[in-house]
Amino acid sequence: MIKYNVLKNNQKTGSLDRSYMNQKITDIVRKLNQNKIFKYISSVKLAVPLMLLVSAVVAYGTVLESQYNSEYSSLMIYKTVWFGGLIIVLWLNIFCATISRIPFKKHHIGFVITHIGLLTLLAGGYVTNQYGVDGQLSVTEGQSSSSVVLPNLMIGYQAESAPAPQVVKFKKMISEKKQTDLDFLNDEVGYLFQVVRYVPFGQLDKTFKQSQNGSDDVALSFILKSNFFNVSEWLHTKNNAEMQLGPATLKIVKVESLDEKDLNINPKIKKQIAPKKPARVVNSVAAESGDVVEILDFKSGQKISEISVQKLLKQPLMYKGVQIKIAKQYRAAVVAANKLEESLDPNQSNPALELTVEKSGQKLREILYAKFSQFSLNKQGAFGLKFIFKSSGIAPSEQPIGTAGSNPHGGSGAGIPQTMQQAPESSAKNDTPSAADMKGQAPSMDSMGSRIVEFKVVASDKTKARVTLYKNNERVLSQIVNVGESLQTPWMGMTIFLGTIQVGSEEQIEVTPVNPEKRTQLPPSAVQIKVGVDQIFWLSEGEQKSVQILNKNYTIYFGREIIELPFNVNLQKFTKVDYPGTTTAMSFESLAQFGQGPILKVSMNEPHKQDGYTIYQASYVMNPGQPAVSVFSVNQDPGRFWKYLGSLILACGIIILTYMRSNAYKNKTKEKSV
Amino acid sequence: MKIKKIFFILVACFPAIIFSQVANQTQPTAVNPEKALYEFKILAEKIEISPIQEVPVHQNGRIKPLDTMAQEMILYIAGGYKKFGLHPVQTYIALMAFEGSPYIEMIEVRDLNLRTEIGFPKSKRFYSLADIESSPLMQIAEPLFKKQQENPRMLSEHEKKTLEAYQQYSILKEIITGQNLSGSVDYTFLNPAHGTGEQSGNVNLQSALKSYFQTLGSTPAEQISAAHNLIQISRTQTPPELFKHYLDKIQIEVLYNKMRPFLWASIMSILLGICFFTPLFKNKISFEKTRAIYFVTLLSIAFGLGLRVYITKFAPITNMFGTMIWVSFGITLFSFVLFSIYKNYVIPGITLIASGLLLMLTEQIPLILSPDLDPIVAVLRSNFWLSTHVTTITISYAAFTIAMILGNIGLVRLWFVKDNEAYFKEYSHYAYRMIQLGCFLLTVGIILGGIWADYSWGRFWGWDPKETWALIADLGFLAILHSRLTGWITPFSLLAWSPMAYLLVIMAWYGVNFILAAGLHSYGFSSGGATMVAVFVSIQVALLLAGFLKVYKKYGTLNPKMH
Repeated sequence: MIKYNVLKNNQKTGSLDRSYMNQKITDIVRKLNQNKIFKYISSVKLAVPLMLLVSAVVAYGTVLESQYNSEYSSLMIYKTVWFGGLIIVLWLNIFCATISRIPFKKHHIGFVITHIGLLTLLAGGYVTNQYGVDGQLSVTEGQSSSSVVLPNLMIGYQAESAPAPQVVKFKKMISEKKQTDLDFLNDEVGYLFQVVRYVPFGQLDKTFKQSQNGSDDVALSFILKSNFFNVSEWLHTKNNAEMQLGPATLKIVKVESLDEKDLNINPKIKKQIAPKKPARVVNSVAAESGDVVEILDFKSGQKISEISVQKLLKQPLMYKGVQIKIAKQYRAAVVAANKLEESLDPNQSNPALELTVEKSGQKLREILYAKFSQFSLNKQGAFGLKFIFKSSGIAPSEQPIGTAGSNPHGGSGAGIPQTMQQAPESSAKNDTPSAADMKGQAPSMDSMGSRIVEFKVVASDKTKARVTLYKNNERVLSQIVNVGESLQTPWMGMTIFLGTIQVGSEEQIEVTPVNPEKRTQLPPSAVQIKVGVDQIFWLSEGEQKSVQILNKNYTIYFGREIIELPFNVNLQKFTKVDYPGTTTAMSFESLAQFGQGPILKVSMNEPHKQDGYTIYQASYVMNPGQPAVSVFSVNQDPGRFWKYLGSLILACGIIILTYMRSNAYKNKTKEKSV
Repeated sequence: MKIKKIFFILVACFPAIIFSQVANQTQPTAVNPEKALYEFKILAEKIEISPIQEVPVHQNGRIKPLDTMAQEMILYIAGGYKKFGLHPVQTYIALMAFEGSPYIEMIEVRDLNLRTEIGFPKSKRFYSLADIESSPLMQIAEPLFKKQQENPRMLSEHEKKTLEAYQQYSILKEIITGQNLSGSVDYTFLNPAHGTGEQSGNVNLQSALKSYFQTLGSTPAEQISAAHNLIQISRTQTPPELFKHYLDKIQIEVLYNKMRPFLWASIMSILLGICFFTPLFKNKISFEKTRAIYFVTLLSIAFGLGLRVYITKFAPITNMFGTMIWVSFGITLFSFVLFSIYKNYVIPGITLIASGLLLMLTEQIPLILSPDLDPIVAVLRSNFWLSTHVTTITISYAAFTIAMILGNIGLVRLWFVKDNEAYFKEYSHYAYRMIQLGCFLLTVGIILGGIWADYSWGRFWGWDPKETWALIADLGFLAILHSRLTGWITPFSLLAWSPMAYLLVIMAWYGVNFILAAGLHSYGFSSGGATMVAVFVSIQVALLLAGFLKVYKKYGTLNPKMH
């Protein structure tokens, strides 16, 4: 049809050109259609197997996601080069099928529009994939941040004097790589150091080896034990002088001498880490008349009620369908063999209660210490309640809720109920790192950490260290502890066991490749880096290390790619609103200031847009006694317009297609032709 | 005499019943379960259901009538609404009032191995509170709580069932001790304006509750007036703003529970479907009148859905139950349209029966498909998207269901009818139309889902299992549509492949939520019904294989042209 226009419109040169072009295209397509390869690429005979193949592949992807997690399935399938290739072949198939219809006839309208829509949609998806940003930003209440963590990896390195780090970005690879496979990295960083190995999933083991350059750095191993965790860790005066275990800071300091005034509240140094005493359940400790349990509303912190321990021992208390029962009572609770036990030492005093809190068949255990009112096993509250145990003669530590560090049992990560609550229905797709992955990005604990365990060591003595405990910057205990001995902290029977002290040692991380386990988080990736001839070390995701290269100090970082937003996000307040009487979230929202703008609300289904970025409420981390952390999903999508346009065209196309095949339409055209 | 005795005990130990553990009252003498049940039934049958069923209670994030709560709890504990032939409200109240309740065998232990594990024969299905308390269930369940807290995904199916049994036990105990009722009747404290509330709750309310229980032994009139008094006092409470609208809907909800609209709709559908096969409809009743009757059936499903929307204020597709009803509605609607266009009497007949059966099934397995009206999770709280994206996607399943049914008829006909060519030709056209409609709706639904996800999660497409499987189902049917152009698909194979592709719909609809249980659409996850679906899938596959076998024998090819 179109080609005949040439004759009609030959007076107008513009139309003539267009018609000429149309003629030209038509000719090309006619020739193409005679080509066997083009004929196959544009045919339905390719389209149908392709559709089925894509279906089968992504079906397998969903099974992988169910067995592992979404990050794994996207690494294995959706983000692979071959899958991208498959989609490109599909695109070409649709494209060729569309142009093979040239010159378009009237009955092609539906077909052409539908397929152009599809092409636009897929092209938009490609643009998003290539140039879009989809990461996570977490901000602590009262603080601000602009760092968005992306799913890709990077190696960053910065000379001491350089103003900014240099960065090499790359996609996370699923298989192990040797140096020969890592040219793309070494081409860029090779003049400083070599990346000799890449491990996609690694198990990290920290060891210490004798230093070759004769340093007098000291390494110290210790075990921190309570009935809820058992962590064995290293401190190293140079590489790892300070670490955070939950809200407690542990640090090592090298000193000239250990001589210092002892400070003993609780002068118990035990030979064994776990005294083998018969486990005794003391239910019969006469409760002192002044002992009471206070019941507080978890959210508001307001006191609801108070009951004497004596009364509660006799009969469980019912409050709003919650049954509160004393399971055990302790006069001097200590941790032995990973269990809370009654100390046999008459001088000790650490009154504690173990409660069972039950509602509708759900049972929670709670431990209350008279000395440490903020301690709780249930960081989300127990059915909306919180308890305080007040024992006569013991003044509870008057730390207000809101300063953390109140919970030495918490957050060490071993056997502790997860503190991270990711709202599953809301968190952005997990191929961006979850907040738990982002330890480096997590709010600094400095502002909150008020409990410090300090190990003082001298380089000449491998047999002992001075252990000093601080609470709110005040010394509460100071003691010399020999290697192999343990120290009972006054914080709820937590035990610090001093393992070994090594002088002149260097920290070394060994990474062994492992296979990810089903239904758990993926182990972190790691790279092995070689500097000069003999210095080789591992960096696992999120780690950095200072090294000397050509007499210059460099910091090398390996981890998730981080980009900075052009504006700061200042989180004023995060709120989770539950359906009344339940712990089911009805909504959660953040009040935040973006750059210099006004304070705005961002909540589920209500994102905020600024400077081309869209900020969504994704999830949160909420612990009592600590400021809430709001996790945003940050997104920049240059393909959005094309995807929406493609969707619109596609929908219109299907409607036209369906209509033109319908009897109603056929009858109409018949009438016309008659 | 007996009643009097119970009454006396009840009055004497009411405070204890409410605020103490069952163990305290049940220790002294062992009671014969049969005798206890006999007395229990006598007491329960004398309980007037109305108006006590209308007492507003708060539970699971909303205010509902006691009727609903009792129904849900009895169902959860005993596996059915009408335990011992009693109304759930009667059972619920009698459990509280009867002294021998701990000996009533109420708890359905659903895991056969668990039955032996706790020391009972496999054949014993129901257990009393006393049975459980003397069994090691608690010790078995104890370590599982910790495991559940750490990573619920690591729990095995058996462990989940163990925890479920423990929870059934705990809820029954709560009911018997009165904790359940006294805790849920009082919702004053939920109102933030009220502050954190006093410990003992609303004193008037508790005493009204007490006096209601005191009337249980006396005349119905006294019972009713005490119940009225309780409702009146209960209604003086100020609920949170969000809950206020529920209070006006209590009676409607009681009515909804009583009417069981979907059961009636299902019966109507099946009967009407049968009528379409009788000469009566074809010959005696005019096409217009038939359409009118048809329309009424359609309305009856819409009526039930409407009630659900009215009570919850949300589109009625927030859980599996809702989507199944919605699909039944869709099947009836689309076959109504087909009937109107093609005036074919077979399609409405068969689809009405199918949609009726689907409704019936949905109604009959409340333990797997919870019909609750409880509020929805945060991310779904957007009526606009809920009522566009979810409705479009699920109603596309209805179109595919019709194609699947027509295909299956073709497969069955192969074995029983000699000459099928005319049928294949005519019905493959209908199936084709339905697939077209389904693909259109599903594509639009997927796109709407993409836009919602982009708007609320920040990405249009993320290969989430739910969206991926919707796409797979779409691609499956699109492959059929495209194959028609190559000549790979003839009228017969279009009919045969429709049920095959429908298996993908089952995976997208049921499988992702109940089997894969991964991804961001976690609010829909559940379990159960796997056997039922497995049986359906097996029968379907067997039908397909048999059909292809028959075709191959007759025509020497799997894809006969027939012309």
